[in-house]
Amino acid sequence: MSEPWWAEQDLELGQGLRVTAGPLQVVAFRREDEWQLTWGPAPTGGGDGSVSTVERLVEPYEESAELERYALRAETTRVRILPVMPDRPIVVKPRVALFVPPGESIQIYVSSPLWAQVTVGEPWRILREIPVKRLSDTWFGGSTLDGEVAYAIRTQARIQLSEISARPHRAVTPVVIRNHSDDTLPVERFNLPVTYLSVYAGENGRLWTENIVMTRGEGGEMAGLEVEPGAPREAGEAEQLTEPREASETNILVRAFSNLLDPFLGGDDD
Amino acid sequence: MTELWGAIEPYLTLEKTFGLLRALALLIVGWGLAKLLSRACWRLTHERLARQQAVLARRAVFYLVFLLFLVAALNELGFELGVLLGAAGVLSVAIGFASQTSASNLISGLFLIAERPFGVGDVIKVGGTTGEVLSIDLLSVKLRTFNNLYVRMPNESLIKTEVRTITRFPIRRVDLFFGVAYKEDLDRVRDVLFEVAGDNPLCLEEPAPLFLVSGFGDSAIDLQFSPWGMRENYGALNNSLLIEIKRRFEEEGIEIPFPQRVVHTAENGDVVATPPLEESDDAR
Repeated sequence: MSEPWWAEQDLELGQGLRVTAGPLQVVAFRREDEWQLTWGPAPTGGGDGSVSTVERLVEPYEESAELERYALRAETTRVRILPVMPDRPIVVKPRVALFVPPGESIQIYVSSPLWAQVTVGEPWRILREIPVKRLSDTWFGGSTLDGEVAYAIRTQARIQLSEISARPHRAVTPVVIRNHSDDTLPVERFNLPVTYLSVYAGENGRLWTENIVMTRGEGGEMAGLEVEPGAPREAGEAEQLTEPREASETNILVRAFSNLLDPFLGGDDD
Repeated sequence: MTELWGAIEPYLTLEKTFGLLRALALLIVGWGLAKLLSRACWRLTHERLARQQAVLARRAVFYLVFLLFLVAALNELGFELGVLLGAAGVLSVAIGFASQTSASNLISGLFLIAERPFGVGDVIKVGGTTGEVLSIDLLSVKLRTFNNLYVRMPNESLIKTEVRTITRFPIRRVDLFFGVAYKEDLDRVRDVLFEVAGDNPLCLEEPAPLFLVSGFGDSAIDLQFSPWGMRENYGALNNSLLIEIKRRFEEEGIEIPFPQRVVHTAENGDVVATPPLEESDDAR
């Protein structure tokens, strides 16, 4: 990989930039007093979408009809497309049932798709945030009255880092789940509070977030959540790319493990 | 003119003028004090109570204090309060009978404000009317329907009938009812429906969609398919699901049958002709 897709670029007037991050392609053009932005699925993003390219464009971009224009009076030459975490928590569902017996703890790696944040100018101004991949909505809570809207992903819940393929549009979060209760904890799904996480670029070009420790106390679906500040040690020498969306307190209690909802509740009322 | 003056003059004694001035002073002081106290009440309550409740409390304080001073002022003018109250009693019975509807709306309004089944900005459905609540007043609730009409709903009718608050919870279920032909494999239909829901990002993964075979109809097996979505995506989800289900059913060759009836022609009780059963595909 030559240049990471989040690298800062300088553009001449009339020049453009095409950045591919996995399945997403973003094109930014610098014009007089304005920036033009368009995006769509990456043309080569078929396969596993593990491609990331940065390309300079001189000709005006005509392919896409959906163009957005941003008026910026000041002369700005620099543009940077940054990886940020999604704007809602992610509900992670292991593909294979995972159980944590009482007193045990487990570390798994979860990789979640990022959002691309287009920033230009001096100081940096955010033009738009585009999800690399539109994730399915889901609801996380004990009932349909009480809970929160989130995104859903499925994970292999790998324990070995080497088993995770490095993909440029996903960030890896090491998650430690500790079970301090007296019952076995079935990890059917858990809530990854990504809005509290920042994105780091690790040594080998892989993207990371902070380490998360979730401790399940006595009973209940709530868990003590701890975001360990700084890049995880697996990342090596890492550079912080973006800040978390929400400032996390040292120890937060979040709804982390949820029981299945009965879909047959409700009958045939409209 | 002089006759008129002659009629008024005996009343303009010094004592009476003083009484009038005192009454006027009482009214002015009362008005000021009522204003002051109601403002204090607003400051105390407006953060803790809902807006409607705080407004109500403020008005109640104002009118109560002002009424006390008004009574005192009338007393000062020489009205006998006992007689006045008696008259007021008779009058209130008369007014009560005359304004039965308004009074019942008023009481209903108080209950509505206390119970808070919905707030300003919520979307509610009452009878056949769906709209956004603009204000909850003592006599009526004002709605703006989605075709931009201004609807006034008497509070009494809201207390009496079923009111649905559509924007109460963040997620909603989209209920789709349709039928498939008797020849279809229901397991395959179910799989196709779940695939459609799974591919639609607006459709919530959880709670899982509800799939119900609701019965054997006249011309089709009746199904209910109900995925969940976020409240604000209700319309978009409903449309995208129906469009996608129709497309997928056509691709998979799953038939949504039209109502069909087999007719036997009979003469003197004997069946003389039975039309050949046509493939319902031909009907298209």
